[in-house]
Amino acid sequence: MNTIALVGNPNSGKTTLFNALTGTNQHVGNWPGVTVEKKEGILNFKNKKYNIVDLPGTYSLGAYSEDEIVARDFILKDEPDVVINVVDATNIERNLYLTTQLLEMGTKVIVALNMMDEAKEKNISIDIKKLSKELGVPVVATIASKKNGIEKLIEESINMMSAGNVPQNKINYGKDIDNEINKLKEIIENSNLNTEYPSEWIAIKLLEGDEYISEITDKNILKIAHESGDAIAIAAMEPELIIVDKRYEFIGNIVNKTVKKPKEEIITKSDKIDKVLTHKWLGLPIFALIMLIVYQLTFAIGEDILQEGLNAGMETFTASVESFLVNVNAPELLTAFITDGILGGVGAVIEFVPLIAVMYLLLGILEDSGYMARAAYVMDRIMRSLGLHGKTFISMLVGVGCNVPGIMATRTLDSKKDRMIAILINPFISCGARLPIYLVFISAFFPKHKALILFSIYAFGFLVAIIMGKIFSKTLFEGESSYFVMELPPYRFPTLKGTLLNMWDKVSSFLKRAGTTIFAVVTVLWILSVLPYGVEPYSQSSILGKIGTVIAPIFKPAGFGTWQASVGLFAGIVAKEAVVATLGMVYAGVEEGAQLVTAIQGAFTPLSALSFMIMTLLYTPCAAVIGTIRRETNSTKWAVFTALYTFAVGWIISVAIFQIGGLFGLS
Amino acid sequence: MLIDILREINNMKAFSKKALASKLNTSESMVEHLLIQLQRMGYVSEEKVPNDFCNKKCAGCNINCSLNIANTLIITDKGKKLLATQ
Repeated sequence: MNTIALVGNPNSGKTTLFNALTGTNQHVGNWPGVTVEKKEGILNFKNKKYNIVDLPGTYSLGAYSEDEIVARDFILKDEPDVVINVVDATNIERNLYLTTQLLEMGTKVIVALNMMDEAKEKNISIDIKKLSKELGVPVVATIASKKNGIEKLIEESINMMSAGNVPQNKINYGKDIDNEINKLKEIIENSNLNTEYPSEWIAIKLLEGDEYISEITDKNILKIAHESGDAIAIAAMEPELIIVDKRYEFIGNIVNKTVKKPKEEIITKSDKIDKVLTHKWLGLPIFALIMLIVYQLTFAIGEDILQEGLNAGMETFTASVESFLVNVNAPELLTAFITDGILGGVGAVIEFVPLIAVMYLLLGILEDSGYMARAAYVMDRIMRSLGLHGKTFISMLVGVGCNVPGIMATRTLDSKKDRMIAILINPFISCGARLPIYLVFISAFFPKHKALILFSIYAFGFLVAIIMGKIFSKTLFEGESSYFVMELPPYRFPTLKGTLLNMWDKVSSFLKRAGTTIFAVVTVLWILSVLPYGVEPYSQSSILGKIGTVIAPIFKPAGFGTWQASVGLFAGIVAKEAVVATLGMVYAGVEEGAQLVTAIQGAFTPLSALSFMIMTLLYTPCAAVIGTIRRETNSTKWAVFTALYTFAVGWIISVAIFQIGGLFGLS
Repeated sequence: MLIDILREINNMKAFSKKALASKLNTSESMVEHLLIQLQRMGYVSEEKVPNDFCNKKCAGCNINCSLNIANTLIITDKGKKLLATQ
């Protein structure tokens, strides 16, 4: 039975053509030794059967993937009677690269110029006769999805099977390369090299530096191939580059002669938008304005609409649980643990889920629309002007979600200097876990300027990070920053499903942590707050109160030298969400957000609240981040350094805010 | 063509495939293809941040690797050497 192989780029309609040719006569298996799927089927045409093999979709026939090796090995070793090259007419330039490689193989090729209907819709016209002449192979227009042109394609294939050797057009690599190909071909033919591949094709592949072919080639031939490669290399242009470029030149010439398509808009809508959004002077203020709007909407939707409902629900739930526990005569200590500890602590964190959900929904929309890449580009320019690597900002943007992946993202920085700086400053970027702290304090003290204060806190974190980065680049790490180019993806409308899924990812992680890490922290702290036995729960006399009392004097100059604030900060080193959870618990009897806000209003002043928020923004990162720094720098020294210096920076700035604010008569 | 695209990228701080396609009088899909070729040959390297570095096992992470803030392209030393000789 004669065999016809189908080869083509992914999405060229190859499988549709395979289905059109074989109908239900198909079977699927695997290519020997690899996990690549092998599809075969039978074509019945004019009372004769033909074996159809659907080769893996591939853009070229190099040795870069299993798919490529499987496809080229089948063509060269199994020698199908005809190879049908399925070419997407709407992407002809790209698809013809594979065609050129088939021509190099000297195999019998027919081009199925597929998706002609779509090409017509896009006003792409292709002179098929001329294309056939230029390639030196038959070209048949097809619309596989509508079974158009299939019969003609089969007939051409059958004709070619019986046609003997068909002369094809060869790629002109230029005199020098052609000479070396011929020289190598002759050496290969006269050698004992026993392969199933054609000698001319081996010669080209050896010049291209094909690893797979080099491995199976005799050492002497390989040595000559290297010498030939050196002979044709032009300056830093390796033979592979020259050969690949010649293929594109060949394709370019053919496309110029045979394809007509409408001229694309030179300045697109995207370009026009980018001119404004990435403008040298306007870019940064626009970015700041967009972020301010994000925070404004976070409060408007998340707090004013959603959180109120959740608060009421939590209040009812806590009251029901408490009443149930009292009714069943549960021990007083258990009732206190569940209501004050769990519902007061973990509940205080959970109440901020609506705000967190809204904020990440809005940030997700910005990401999906393609704007975040523009923001990174705008900041890249500023970072570079400060002598910092632009990618540092990308890792900082990632840090807004969580500093752990933010620090992981610094792996994109090539130089050690750039990477170390990016790692050391990332903890200053406020992660999602710190958000509930700001929300509680902003609600308590700055209800009229919620979005502005939140925006200022985030911006301040970035500012401190950049200043510290500059200091580190001048002191600890010196050297040149490497260069990169950023891709600006096209603008697009975010999909509802995509953004909601993105938001749910974050919210579910937040809830998971509230139910695990925060629950564990709250449990331990609650036990410490009711011991020793008989002490008044959540009082200064408890173990927790005593620990807090020891730490508290450190924070007195910053305006929040209370034992409650101190243990809150202390718990934040385990996980930042634990700060609010701990405050919710230690202000005894506080079960939900509004009451926590009231308790905080009694314990802080606007100035000490601001100082506390800045401290939580800047001080020692959580244990997970410290662990990540140790892992990424492979150094305990840097992890300890980060934990200590961030604390020092946070403390100094908090003290400065409180003291200077006091001098100006603020309280 | 490959050198042309490498040169264009080298002259840009940010690029879009559409803009590159317009400059080189070709299609976006061709630009994509050429970039893949340059990557394969080691003249450029591409990174998706943070997707390339997310392993979904980061303790304390509430990002879940779903972000894709920026794709960046670096012209490698090999690429720079090539450009220097052009």
